[in-house]
Amino acid sequence: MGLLRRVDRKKFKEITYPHLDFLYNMALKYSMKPYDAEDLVQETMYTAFRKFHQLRDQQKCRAWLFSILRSHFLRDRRQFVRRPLLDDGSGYLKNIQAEGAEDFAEVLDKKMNKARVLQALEKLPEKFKTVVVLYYMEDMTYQEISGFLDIPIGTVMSRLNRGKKQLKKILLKSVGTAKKGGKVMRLIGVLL
Amino acid sequence: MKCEQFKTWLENRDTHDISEADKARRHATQCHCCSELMAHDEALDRHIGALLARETVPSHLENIVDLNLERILPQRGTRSIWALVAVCCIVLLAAIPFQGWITGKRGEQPMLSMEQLGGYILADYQNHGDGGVGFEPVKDAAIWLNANLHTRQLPPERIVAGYTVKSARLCKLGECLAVHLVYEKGGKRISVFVMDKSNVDGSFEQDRLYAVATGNTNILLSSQNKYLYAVIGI
Repeated sequence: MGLLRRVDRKKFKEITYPHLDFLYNMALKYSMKPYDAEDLVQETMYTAFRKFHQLRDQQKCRAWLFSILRSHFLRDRRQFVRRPLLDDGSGYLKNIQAEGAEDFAEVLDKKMNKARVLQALEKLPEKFKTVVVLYYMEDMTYQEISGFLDIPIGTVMSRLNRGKKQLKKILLKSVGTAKKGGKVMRLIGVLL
Repeated sequence: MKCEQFKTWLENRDTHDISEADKARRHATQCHCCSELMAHDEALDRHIGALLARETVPSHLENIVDLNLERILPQRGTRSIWALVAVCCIVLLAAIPFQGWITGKRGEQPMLSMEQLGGYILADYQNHGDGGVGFEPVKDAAIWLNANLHTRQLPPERIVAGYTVKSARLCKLGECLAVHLVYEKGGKRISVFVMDKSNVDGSFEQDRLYAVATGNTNILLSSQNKYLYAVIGI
């Protein structure tokens, strides 16, 4: 059995290790902490090795590994995830409209850093976060995300739309681009 | 398309079809405010994409995954025809050199007397006790034993306490196959031999320590389950 195990492990490594980069980065977007991401990847690979016989199509290995990672994450999410932000469905464009072109570019460069984006991402419900990350990080099309997650393309579009809206709304609020309200308040004070 | 419709499209364009996109872009070419709004939104998209790009994977991750997989116990309850065929092939191929271990036909293997056992152990220790030529470096005895003997059972802690395994090799004690492990502590080396207990003519109680004198050298023996462990050099 020792010889069989060696052959299986070699094949397992050949097929699955090229996806470690992707798995780690997805785990990092889920857990937000490098050590937690490493643990999540280790758990994923352990489960994948034990269930390697279930992988029928090697072309779908990445999606298969991701489904395992996501299962582990959802199972243990209490230690990773804070309560997601409730979405009232309102838009984010009004937070951009207040800024001129040069001011907005400055906001993007100086205030919108990785930490802010990750904090905003953390507030999204998992089902939105997954499609948003696949869209931005992996540059996947709707069709590719649909095939990867094995969900209808309409669902992908809907989740991506809501996820992006929420993300942008949280981000723009966090950098304080909506300033019109403040000016109106001061004007009322003067008139009175 | 009016400006309000454009803004609605811009915020929800993932759910709109291509015909709406054409109308929106035509409107943007005619309306400066909406054109600027779209430019800001696209800049925001690019910025988010850049910040969410993949990060460098820690260099030790693959190594950690490797070590975890090495420690996975053999799956129980996994039965398949191909696995059975493969095992049978291994048994047949290994019949001549490893007959004492795999075929289980212990009746054909001459049992070693305690005197013979002591002599073979002493000879192998004197010739190979430095753990050099013919030995494989070993960092984890359980992994090496599992890979070479299909067992994860380690030598009893009481006989190797404080020592660190350095290297290992398969060897023969007379006609009996054994493993020669070399341990080290503070520059001092000892040899631990692992063999099938049924190849030795003697009765050994579980976990009890025995001593065999060979010449001027004492060899300690301990039995656990089906294996006999002999330590020399202490």
